[in-house]
Amino acid sequence: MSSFLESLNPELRDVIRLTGAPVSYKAGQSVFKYGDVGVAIYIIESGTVRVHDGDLVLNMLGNGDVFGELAALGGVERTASATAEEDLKVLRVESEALFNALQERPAALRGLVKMLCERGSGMAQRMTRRSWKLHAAQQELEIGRRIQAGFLPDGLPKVPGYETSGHFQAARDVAGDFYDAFYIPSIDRLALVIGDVCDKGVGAALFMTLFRSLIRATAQSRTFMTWAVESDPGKTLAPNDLDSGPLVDQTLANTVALTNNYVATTHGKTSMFASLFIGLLDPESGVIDYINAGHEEAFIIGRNGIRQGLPPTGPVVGIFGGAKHDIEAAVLEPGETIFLYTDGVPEATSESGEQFSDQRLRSLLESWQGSADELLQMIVNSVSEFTEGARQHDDITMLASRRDSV
Amino acid sequence: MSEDLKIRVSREEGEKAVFVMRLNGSLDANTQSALEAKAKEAIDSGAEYLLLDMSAVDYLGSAGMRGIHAITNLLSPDDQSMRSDRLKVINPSPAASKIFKTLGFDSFIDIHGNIDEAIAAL
Repeated sequence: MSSFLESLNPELRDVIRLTGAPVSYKAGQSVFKYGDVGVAIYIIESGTVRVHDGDLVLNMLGNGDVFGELAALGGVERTASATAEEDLKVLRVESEALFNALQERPAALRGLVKMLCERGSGMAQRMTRRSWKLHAAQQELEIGRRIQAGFLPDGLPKVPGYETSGHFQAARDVAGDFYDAFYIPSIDRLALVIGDVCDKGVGAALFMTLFRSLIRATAQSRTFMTWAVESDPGKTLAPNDLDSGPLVDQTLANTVALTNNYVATTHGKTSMFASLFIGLLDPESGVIDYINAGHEEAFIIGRNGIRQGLPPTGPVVGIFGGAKHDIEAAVLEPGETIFLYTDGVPEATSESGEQFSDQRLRSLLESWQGSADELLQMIVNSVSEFTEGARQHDDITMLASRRDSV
Repeated sequence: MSEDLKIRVSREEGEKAVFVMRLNGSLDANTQSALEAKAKEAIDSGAEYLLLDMSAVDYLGSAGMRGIHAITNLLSPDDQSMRSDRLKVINPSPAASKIFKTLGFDSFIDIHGNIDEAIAAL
């Protein structure tokens, strides 16, 4: 005797046997589909059935199990599909026939009510257990989010003559975008970095912490290594005593090459990469030496709008080991702003599916006069107005630094 | 789920095991795994070269590029060189072409105007 039938009172069991008819399904054949109106209950005599919603498997049922009873008895739509996983034999009980038979048999009807209550209570217990598991997973994600937030700078460095501002808005709990700004005393440069790790979610977040750490550690390696000897991070090489020009290019080249080659050789099989802009700004002259590794064009905004774009000088980092990245230079004149962003800004999508677009972003930049902080705030406002009511698809990250007017 | 990307796979006549994958729709974080799965199926059934026809790709995201790179890894698992000799891109749409260029993939994956041109270059 099968286990579902065994659990019923004898009167109901008899009614089900009386009204049911044996039906066979070949492996892969559909028993019913999501959204169909339920008309029958199925009790498995042999084989297995897959209860699923598209590719998501909700349950696998075998010999003696029942399925499809709730929608059938309620006469409502199926909440999942059922497909024979292997050749399947079932006892198919039409709900109309069952109800007719139950009219004359109050004891069997009572058995049916009891069966439904037991199954309802079992379902509620499973839901509670699942909710706890989900709760635990959400807590883990929240811990991840907090730890990841520590990989963004606490505050931005205050370099005399410059005002720097950053903005970061994750699409999910954890993110693949990052920005960074730090001062490198050994070469007297302010590093401005923005990066976008491909893909989304936890995988991108893990790689974001790797890319960000490699960049920061390599760019500041002279400082960190001297610190070990001098025990004072400030007392490194005095920048004025040497020509820092070649060192700046070396720092840039080393930072990008080490990051790229390390990830490509150690993690190349995962195909994870990042686009990246790293600029080293000389506070005195305003010269920015930079590498743009497959990232969105950065912009220098002057008195009359965008004065210069800083397009890619090489490919993305992390998959093409040994790739070459050119170093270019631009100048930030007094009163000008360098603006870095990730594609989450132009690709922010409205409720109707329209993208914010490069054009909208450019037109905001073209008309801009003001501080770096106000610039980012204006773009944030404009994007959030545009996307009101829609789900955020991608991380939105920006970094801007403005040189004071003289 | 792959609702937003249609993938048609066919084998080309000829000596070399060349398969063409015609993509239609959006290649992004939601659809890249479907592309990878189809490519793996083709490779398992003997494909040595894959041509990705991207003329009908209306959106290509960085996650989609990750999927393409993953296919080059599947095709040449032991190849340490950066260039992919076994995967070629055919006639990318303007949207796809722009991403290839920005991310610098065009230096590592050959782009051809049509299938005959790509096969001649294998």
